[in-house]
Amino acid sequence: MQMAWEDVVNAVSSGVTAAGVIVAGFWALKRFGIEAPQWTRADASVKATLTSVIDGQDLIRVDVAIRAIGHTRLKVTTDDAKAPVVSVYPFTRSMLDSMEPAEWKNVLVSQRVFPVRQNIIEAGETMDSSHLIPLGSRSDETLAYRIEFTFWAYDPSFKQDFAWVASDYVVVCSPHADENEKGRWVRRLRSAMRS
Amino acid sequence: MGSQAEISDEKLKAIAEALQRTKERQAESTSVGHDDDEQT
Repeated sequence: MQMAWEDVVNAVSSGVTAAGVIVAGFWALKRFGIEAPQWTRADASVKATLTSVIDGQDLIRVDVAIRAIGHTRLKVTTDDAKAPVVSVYPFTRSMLDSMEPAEWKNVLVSQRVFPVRQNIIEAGETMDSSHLIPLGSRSDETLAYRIEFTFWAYDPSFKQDFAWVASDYVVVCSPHADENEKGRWVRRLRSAMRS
Repeated sequence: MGSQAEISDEKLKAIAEALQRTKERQAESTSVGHDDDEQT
């Protein structure tokens, strides 16, 4: 009879141990497999506004920010080829019919952002910066500007750089358009952006 | 709010060329400033 009790106690003990191992396994899978805290995670944002038109040239203000939203510090790549950059693309009248390109490649202006030596962002912290970018004389074909903020960060888990992109639009109108024509462009542009 | 993205080599090249144009504009404006300084 005493042996039977010992067997029961041993069985319960083994069961509790097995349950603990299973629970720990699921926790480890969730923590390190699904949540993957060691991965580099970031949130990029950009906000652009047309500040003024000086001597027929557009000047836009661009506010960019990178937030390290993961559990690890973010190491932003600063090499020339992969430096944080703001690029501006013209949205032209022809795109009202053809729609936006699948990939924006017709760069009007690119400008590097953030100081060269500032590239570490601790977990939970944000690095931001504001820039004024002259765009030159606006073509009559240009109805809006697409502003893309791109940066790369090195992920030690994968031993490679990954890119993040955020975008915004600034709607402008041709200085040569009369009011009726300008209104028509703006309506078509808004319609195209909604679709 | 941005997201992680794949960027094609073609787009990278276009951005690099635009950055080079910006650098050249910055260099031109700097050299013009130096010339002005030398003249004065």
